[in-house]
Amino acid sequence: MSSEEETQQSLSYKVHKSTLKWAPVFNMTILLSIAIISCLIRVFSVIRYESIIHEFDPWFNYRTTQYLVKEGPYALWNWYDSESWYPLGRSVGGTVYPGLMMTSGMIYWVLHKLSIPIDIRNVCVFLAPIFSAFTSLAAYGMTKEITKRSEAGLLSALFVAIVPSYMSRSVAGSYDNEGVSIFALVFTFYTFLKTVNTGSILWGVYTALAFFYMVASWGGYAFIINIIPIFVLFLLITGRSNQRIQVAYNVFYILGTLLAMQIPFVGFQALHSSEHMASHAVFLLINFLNFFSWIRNFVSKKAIITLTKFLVVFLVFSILVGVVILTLAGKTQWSGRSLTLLDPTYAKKYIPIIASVSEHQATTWSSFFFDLHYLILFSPVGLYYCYYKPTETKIFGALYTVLGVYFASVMVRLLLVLAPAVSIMAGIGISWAFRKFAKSVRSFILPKIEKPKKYRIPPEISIIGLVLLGYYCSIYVLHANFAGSEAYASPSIILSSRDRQGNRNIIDDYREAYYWLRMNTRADDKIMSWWDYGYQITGMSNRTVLVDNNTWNNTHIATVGMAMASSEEDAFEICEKLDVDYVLVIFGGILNYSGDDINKFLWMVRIGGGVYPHIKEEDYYGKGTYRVDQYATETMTNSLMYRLSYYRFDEVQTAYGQPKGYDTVRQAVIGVKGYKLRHFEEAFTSENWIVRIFKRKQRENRDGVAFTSKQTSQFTIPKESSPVTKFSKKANIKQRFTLNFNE
Amino acid sequence: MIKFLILILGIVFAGTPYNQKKVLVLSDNPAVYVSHSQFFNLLSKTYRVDYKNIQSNTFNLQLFGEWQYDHLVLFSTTNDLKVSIQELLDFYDSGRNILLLGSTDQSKYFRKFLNSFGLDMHEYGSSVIDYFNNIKGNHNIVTTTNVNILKVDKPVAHQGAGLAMTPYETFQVYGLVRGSETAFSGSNLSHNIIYVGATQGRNNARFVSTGSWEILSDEYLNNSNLGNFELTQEIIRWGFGQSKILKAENLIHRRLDSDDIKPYNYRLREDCYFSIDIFEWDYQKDQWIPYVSTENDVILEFVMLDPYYRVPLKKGQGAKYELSFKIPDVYGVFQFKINYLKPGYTFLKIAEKITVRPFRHDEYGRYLVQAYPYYFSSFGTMAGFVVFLIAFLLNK
Repeated sequence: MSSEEETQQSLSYKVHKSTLKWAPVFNMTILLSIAIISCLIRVFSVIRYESIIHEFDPWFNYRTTQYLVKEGPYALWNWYDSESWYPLGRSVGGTVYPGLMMTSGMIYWVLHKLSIPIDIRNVCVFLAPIFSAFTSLAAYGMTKEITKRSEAGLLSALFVAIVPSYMSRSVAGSYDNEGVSIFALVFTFYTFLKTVNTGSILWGVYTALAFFYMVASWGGYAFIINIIPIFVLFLLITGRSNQRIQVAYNVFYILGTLLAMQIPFVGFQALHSSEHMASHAVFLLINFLNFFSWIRNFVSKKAIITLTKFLVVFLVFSILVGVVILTLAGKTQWSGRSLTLLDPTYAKKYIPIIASVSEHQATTWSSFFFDLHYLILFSPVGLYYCYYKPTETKIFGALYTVLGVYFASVMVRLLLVLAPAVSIMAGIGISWAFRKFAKSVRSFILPKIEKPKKYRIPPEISIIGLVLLGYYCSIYVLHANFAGSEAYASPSIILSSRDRQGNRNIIDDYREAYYWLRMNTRADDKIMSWWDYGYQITGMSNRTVLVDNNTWNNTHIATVGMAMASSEEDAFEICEKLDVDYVLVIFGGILNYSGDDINKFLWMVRIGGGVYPHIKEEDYYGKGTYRVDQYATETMTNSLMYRLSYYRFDEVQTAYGQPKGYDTVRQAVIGVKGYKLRHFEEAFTSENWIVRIFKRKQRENRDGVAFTSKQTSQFTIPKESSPVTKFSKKANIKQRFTLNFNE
Repeated sequence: MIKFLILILGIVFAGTPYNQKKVLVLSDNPAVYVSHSQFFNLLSKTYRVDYKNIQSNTFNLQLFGEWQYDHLVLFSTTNDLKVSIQELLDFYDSGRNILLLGSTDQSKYFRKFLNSFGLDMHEYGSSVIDYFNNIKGNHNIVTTTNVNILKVDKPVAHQGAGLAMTPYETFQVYGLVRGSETAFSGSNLSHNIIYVGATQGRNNARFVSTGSWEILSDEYLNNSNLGNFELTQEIIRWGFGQSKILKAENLIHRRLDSDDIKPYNYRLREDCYFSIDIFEWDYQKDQWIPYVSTENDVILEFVMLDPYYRVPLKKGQGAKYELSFKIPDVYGVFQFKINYLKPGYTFLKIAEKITVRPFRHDEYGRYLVQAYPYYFSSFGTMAGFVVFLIAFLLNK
């Protein structure tokens, strides 16, 4: 019995021993497989559809990258794009975060130097998955800096690698700034925490460089430049500040700010924009306190008190005055998006163009759960762990999570910033729980190594807990897999539907229409559409657009909104003034495609009305609601958008058992039928009617000349001359002539 | 041999393009051929003229989608026509010209037709009366010297109805011959009585309408004291597109200090030179001659949404109109625009798109006086850092 026990013990002891020996190898292997998995899970979109650039913004990034690869970085810096925002144009070099394009440009050049002739499109398509692998590595490092434990790091890396929120922006083809900048964000935090832990200036320089890459790639860098000062301030207030923090912050702030200024789009904003104000203030404060404690060595205690009072009053007063003066003089202002973050209702009230973007809406619980899944359940455990035995790095992790939760609940798109934080916290929490459970199990199996303690969890409960945790984790993996393969794989310019047999049908209307534009219009034709489709038209059709997704000029967008909301006659005048040749509308009434222009139309009205007050939202509400049927108002049915979308729609039957002209999205029969367009003519309608393109006609030859006079409309032949017959009338004329000849 | 003949014929016909234009005269009253023989003589001197009865089926304006005539003369007061108003308007909108002779007993059909050109007949049966400017005291035969656009020196006699214009006068509709101040007609006492009205479409097709047939009749044309003969000549020339025809070509824009014509783009605040050649058709010499505008009214606009410049072009050598100016301090897609809408002349609508780009990163001025404090402070900081380092290292 005892020998049996001994052999059993020695076996498990051996296993335990060799596991410990091989742990680093396991560690690296697991990490590597996580990196590979994070890449592979994002390639579903290419497998299901094709290697294509997705959505809207990526098309601009793709076009810019093509330009960069063709013309070089200096040309990109000075690129003045006359094909967008006609006739204003856009100075691309100064209004773009070049990090993404430079990264793929670099990859392209390096590969071509190595004689690997890869197409730039494929570099762009697969960039985000590759960077997600880097992100999981950075998350491993960051968690390790927070907890000093590699198992927590591995779990965090796994969670980050497949978190659906991050996946939504980094599937293959989703060539957007976020794809690389989430890596930059996590990596900056990793290097910063490393600096905090080591107090090394060298790591501080790395932090600044990582921050520089972040500034170069995404406007979300403001999050870093705010959270690090808040973290330092928090430490100062709680009295946890020390020399390492000072080194870390000063090196980061000075180098980081200087480097940020090198990006043309940021430039001097790094000094005077409100997003950077916190960093300046904390820099002054931390050095002032340092200086103050140094002075304390030379001055008596009584003098110190008066000096403190004086300095505190002076500091507070000067900062207040400074902020007031800067704000009044307009030297610093809050951008609309930042204000929306502080006051979630701000955009809705004042800036409809920000409120109109779906990713700027407040986050719903369902999207929280869909995008983060079980992580939001487990991250509080990690948060608790961080506050339980706080160190500087744990405080940082906790602060990051708490602030991230706030921002993510204000705007949907900022879930992306929260996702790494929640993953890391969940990783820490779950690994902590695992550890506790494992210890109790181990003390049961290997009592010699793990000394049993009184407060240990009973092993039976531990086993149940381990199984449950494992179950939840695998559920999370399944969910992430579903999100990656189904929900976020769609490129949104190619739609797909399933018929009753389960066959997949590809709906390729967008590309069909954009290709039509490319092949059938003149090279300098201007296309008017709502701004959502601007990047795609310039990217795919290579034609000039009036407005695009870079919503920098509200007035110009409002003008387009006004044109869409005006009657055909007025819209024609506006289009003529803006040299519009074609108008493109998206219409989903046949295919039940709800993201069409009629559904977006209210935003056009609101944005147009924000600048041109004669456009009033209530004019478009029939019987109190927004509708297209017979109760729609005259303003609504006369609007260009309505006229173009429903042109000849009443000639088709869309749904079984419904009359002709039945709109499947609005579920109503359209109100106006059989009308003709006077100033526009249908040029192209795609297979499923999703994209409709109309050509603006030339002004009519006698436009504004023809009329009907009173004389003509009330024309009657007076009584005395009415009996004149045709014959005698002729004679009459002849007679008159003869008379005249005689004179 | 046949090929040679065809070649000869081709040369002959190609050399006389205007002689080959075809005019269709539509009338419901054969009497006009007697009363207006002079007019028809003038017409057939320059055109191939077909005479058809408007009420018959013997003519086709359009055959297999091709217009059969270049110009149209309408002598008719009937309602009973074989052509629809729309067909006549289509004829005009395709760039062809129409001359309509009105009458006091003009039918509703032609009143509607006239309305389509922004002109209007006076009431049925009314005729213009002038107690001061008339012939031999007959106040129904009125005279006027108020002739615009056309070149007529002597007074013009008119008898019959007058025309009125649209409620809002446009650059397309004008009176060629207007009544004198003292003329009036029926209940219409305004001074704005028109004897010969004209409309020019956006496609430069011309439409002329007289208030009465008599203004072009032999009776007045034969009278050497009156200007009606010249008027008739001028109406035919102007109305059928021989006089006051302009064309613009050879548009050039370049940097003032460069010969690179039509560069890819301009930088803001560059000096720019613009020129264009404008020619007028000389029907006597049968060739294009430089157009000279006496009023300095060829205006160039430099437009991006709004005009940034609106300056008359200077007359240069030959047909050249030119201007050099500084491109404004705004970037965008600009247009050189000329909208020459002078009444009576061919409309010139010219738009040339160019891109004005901002400064390149290496085009900004350097070593500005204002920047010296910055240079000083940055170099000072560097020097101070070195000094500090030396002091720091030596102190150790």
